[in-house]
Amino acid sequence: MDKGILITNHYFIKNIQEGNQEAFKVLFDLYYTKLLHVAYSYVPNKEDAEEIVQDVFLKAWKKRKNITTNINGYLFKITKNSCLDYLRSKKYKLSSANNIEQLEAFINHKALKDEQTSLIIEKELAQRIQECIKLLPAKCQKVFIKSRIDGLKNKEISDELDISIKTVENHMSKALKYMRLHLREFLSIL
Amino acid sequence: MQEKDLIKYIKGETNSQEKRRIIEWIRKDYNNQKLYNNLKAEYVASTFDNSDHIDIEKKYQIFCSKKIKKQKYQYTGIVAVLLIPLIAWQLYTYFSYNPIVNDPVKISEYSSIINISTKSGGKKKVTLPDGSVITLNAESKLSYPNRFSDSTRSVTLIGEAFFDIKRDIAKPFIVHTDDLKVKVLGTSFNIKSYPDDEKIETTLVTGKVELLQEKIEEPIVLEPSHRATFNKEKSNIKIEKVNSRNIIAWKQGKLIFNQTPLKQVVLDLNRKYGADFIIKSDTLLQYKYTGVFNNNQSLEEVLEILKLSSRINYKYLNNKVMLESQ
Repeated sequence: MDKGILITNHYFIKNIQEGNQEAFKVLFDLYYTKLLHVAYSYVPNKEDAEEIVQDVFLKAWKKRKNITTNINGYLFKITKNSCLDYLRSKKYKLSSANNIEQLEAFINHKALKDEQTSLIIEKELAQRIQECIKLLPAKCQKVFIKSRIDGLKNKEISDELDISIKTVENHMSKALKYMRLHLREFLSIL
Repeated sequence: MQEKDLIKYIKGETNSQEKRRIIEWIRKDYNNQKLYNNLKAEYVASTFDNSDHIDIEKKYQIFCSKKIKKQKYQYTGIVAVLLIPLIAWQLYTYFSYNPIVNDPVKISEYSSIINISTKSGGKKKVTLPDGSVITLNAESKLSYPNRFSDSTRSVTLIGEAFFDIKRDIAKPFIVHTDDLKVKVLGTSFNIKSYPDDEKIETTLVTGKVELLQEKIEEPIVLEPSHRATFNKEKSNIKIEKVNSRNIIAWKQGKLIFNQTPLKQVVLDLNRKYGADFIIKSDTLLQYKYTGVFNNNQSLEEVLEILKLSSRINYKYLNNKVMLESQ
C-alpha cells in the first residue's frame, strides 16, 4: 500500500470539502483521541483540552473548503494554535508573581510554539494515523481505501474487485466498525 | 539539572517543590528551555497510545449537536437582526419614561434584547446569560440579548462599566461602543465611553483584550494594567501603563483623579452627584487635578476638598456650581 495514498488522497479531500458526513466522521474517529492527547499534554485541564479539540473539528468543518491535501498538518496546526491562545490567556492571568500554574503555562507556551520541536509531534501524528488504517484486515482495507479514500462508488468497487455489491457493503461496514473498535482496543491495551 | 529530572517532571511524577525548582531552571536560560521543548515533544510523540479510553461515539455526538446548534443559530441571527431596530426603539421610549433610579436591577424583557440603564449617581450589577458579571456606572446603558448567539457574545455599552467575563474560547465576547469594538475571550476590564467625553478608555485588569476600530486596521492587543485611550476627534489610540485599581475604584464609589483635566473631573462629578457645573475660563478647563473622593462624601464636602487642594474656588449660581480661579 502506498503510504501517501491515505489521508492526502484527492478524492478523500474532495469528499471532505463537499461536506460528506461519512468522510468527516472517518477523520473525527481517526484524529479525536490523538489531538486530545496533544492538547492535554500542554493544557493542564482536561475539560479545557476537550473543549479545544471539539472546537478544532468545528473549525475544520466550517472551513472544510480550505482543507487541502495536508490534512494532518491542517488539523495539527488548528489544535496547536488553539492551545497557544489558551496558554497565552493563562500566562497573563496574574494572581501572584510565582504562581506555579502560570509559570507552567509560560514554559509550555514556549515549548509548543517552538516550530522545530512541535514538528516532531506533527510527523509522529501522521505516521500513527497511517498505522491505524494499515491495521485493518487486507480485504476490508482495500474496500475501505477504494471507497473512502479513492472515492469510488460501491458499484465501481464491485466491478473492479469482482465481488458483489452486497459484499462491498459488508466490507465497508466491517471496516468502519473494525476501525472504531480497533482504535479503542489499541488505546485501552497500552 | 539532569535529563532524568526533566523527564520525571514531564511525566508528572514530581512533587510541587521539585516542580517549582525544575520550572525555574527551565526559565533561567534559553538552552534549558530548548532542551525542555525537545524532551517534551519527544515524550508527547512517544505516548500517543497511552491516553485513557475514550468513547469516540459520544464525543462525535457532542460534536454533531454543536454543529447543528451553530447552523440553527446562524438562521435565527438573521431574524434577530431584523427585529433589533424595532425592539431597540420600543425600549428606548420605555426607558426614557422610566422613573426608577437606584433600584436593584430591574430587567425588562422584550423578546430578546434586555436593556439596563442607570441615572446619575446610580450603579448596577448585571449577570449575563453566560454568567459574566457587569457593573454599570452612573448614567450608563447596557444592551444584551437574553440568549447569546452560538458564535459570539455581543453587548452594547453607552457610558462606563466594569466587565468580568466568563471564559469561552468558542464564543468571543464583544463590546460595541460608538466608535470602538472590544473583543475578549475571558477576562476582566473597564470601559469608559460616555458620549460627551472626548475619549474612550479601555483598561485591562486581567487576561487579554483586542480593540478594533474602523480607522485602525490592525487590532490592538492590550496587556493587563494597561489602558488604551481612543481619542474620538483625532481617531488615534494611546496606550499607557496604569494602576488598574484606581481605574475601577468607582465600583467602591470612589473617584480617583490623577493629573486629570478639570473638564473631565466635572463630567465625572456631574454623573455622580447630578450637579451641573459652569467653568468660564479655558485655562481652568485644562487645569490638571489630582485627588481622591470617597463614597460617603457629599457634594459640598467634595467642593470643599477641591477648594483646599487646588487653586479652585466655587460658588452656587442658579442651582449650578461655578468654578473659578482663586
